[in-house]
Amino acid sequence: MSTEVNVRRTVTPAVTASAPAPAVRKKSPYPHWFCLPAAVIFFVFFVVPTFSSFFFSLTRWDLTDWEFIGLDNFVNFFQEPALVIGLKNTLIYAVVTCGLKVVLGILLAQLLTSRIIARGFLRSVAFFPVLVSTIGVGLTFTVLMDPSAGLINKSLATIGIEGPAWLVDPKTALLSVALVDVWKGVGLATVIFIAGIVSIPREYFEAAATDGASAFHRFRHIVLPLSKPAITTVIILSLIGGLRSFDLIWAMTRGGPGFTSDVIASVIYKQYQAGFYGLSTAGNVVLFLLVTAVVFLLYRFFTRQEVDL
Amino acid sequence: MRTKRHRWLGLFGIVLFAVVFLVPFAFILFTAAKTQTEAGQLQFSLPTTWTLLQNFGDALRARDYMLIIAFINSTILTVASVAILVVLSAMVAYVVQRRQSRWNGLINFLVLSGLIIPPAVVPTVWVLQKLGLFKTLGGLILIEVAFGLSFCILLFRAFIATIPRDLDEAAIIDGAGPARLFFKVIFPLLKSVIVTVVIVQSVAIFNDFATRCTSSPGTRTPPCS
Repeated sequence: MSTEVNVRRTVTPAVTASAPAPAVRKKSPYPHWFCLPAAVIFFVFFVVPTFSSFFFSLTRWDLTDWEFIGLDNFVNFFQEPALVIGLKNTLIYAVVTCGLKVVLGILLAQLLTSRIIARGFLRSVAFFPVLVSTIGVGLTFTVLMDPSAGLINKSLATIGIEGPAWLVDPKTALLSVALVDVWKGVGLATVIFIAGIVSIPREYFEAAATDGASAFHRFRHIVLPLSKPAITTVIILSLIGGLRSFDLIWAMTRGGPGFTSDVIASVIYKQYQAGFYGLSTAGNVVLFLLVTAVVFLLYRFFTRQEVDL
Repeated sequence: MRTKRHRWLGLFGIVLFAVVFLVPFAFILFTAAKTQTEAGQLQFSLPTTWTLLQNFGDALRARDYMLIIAFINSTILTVASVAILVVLSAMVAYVVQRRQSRWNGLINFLVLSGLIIPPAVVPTVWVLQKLGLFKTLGGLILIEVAFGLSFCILLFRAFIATIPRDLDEAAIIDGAGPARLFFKVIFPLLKSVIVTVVIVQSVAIFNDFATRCTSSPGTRTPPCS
């Protein structure tokens, strides 16, 4: 009796909210108010800032007062060469990290699903960097990549190669950070690829083996095409991650030397620190549009390909 | 012949992995155990004198036990936000998975946009200030929850789909209300996916640096990283 009253009371707002839904005919045991707390938090701390960012990117702003200045922030953003470098670097960084993660990840996954010794141990070793603090990784590699005293260049010197100056050289700084990002993130890609490869039916490999296919052929004609969903997942995830990445770059170079390794996320943070809130928010909007466009295009591309198959 | 080749491949793999993945960690450990002057040389070598415990002690005592305070703060932040995340996102995923309604499209859209859209830095700070939560642990917890919701809802929804509806019906016939049904019947069954969510989100939130940089630049809630 009391539970029935309770049910009716809790369901009423849901019923009025979705009047034409078929669920109305009886008291639904899945009340919409279950979504309410999450919706409130999500709305206040995510939806509101996102939408207000569109508005505030058009203003000169110091958190209390704002003055409408139209598209000036965006004009400033694209006129400042340092900021345009940030845009270009973001794209380079995302593409490099994404590409390397996919290629290395699928090769590692192939290695770690074949019958080699210590397979479980190697799998956990490859995944370990994913769990470690990004800032810690950044600081460690800053030391390891030191041009003269760092371990990497010293070991290269012992086999007679003169290593690049890594983070100090404006030409290689961004790529060095990207390499460290790959080192840290390749474990996750590998795990996704392993899951994909393991789910391929054994019969395909057996059939290929009877037909006399070499290891390379099996990889090229069975593993690659059949792990396409995994490849899609990894590409989308790591591309989004690369476009948004901030903490590794901040820990290793702070955008330097000069502005040569600045990405949009670090530009946003620098402008925020300097108090240019409007400009910073304009950067946010640029990043938002960039990420959304990339995801949309990729999604279209991959779904169309799947249909063609 | 075949096994022999595999053994060589395995050995090669182990060496490669050791060099690429383990050397940096060994470097951290060795450097942590060195004295100040020796660590300053940035060399990869065994420390001549192991001062690991002493170094840890120094690190803890630095700046009035700042590290311990930071560690406590990080722990509170992680535990609180992961607990809230698990309960709230499981509730949303449950309703979205079980009930066909016209809200589902909107919820799915919001979940996807939460995954894709980069959080806006300054407007978030602005919202926090308006609510009086800027530079507080509570504000930070709510922010982490808001950013983590999408991912958790996706995971939970996929898992809840595997729980048979017969269980719900049995519980309803026995007279359980919606809240009872969810918390007493469904939620305990989610144990395995809850473990996944807790591990993934704890690591992510404990290590999250960017959010703290922007949302609490003061020293009242110093993060551990």
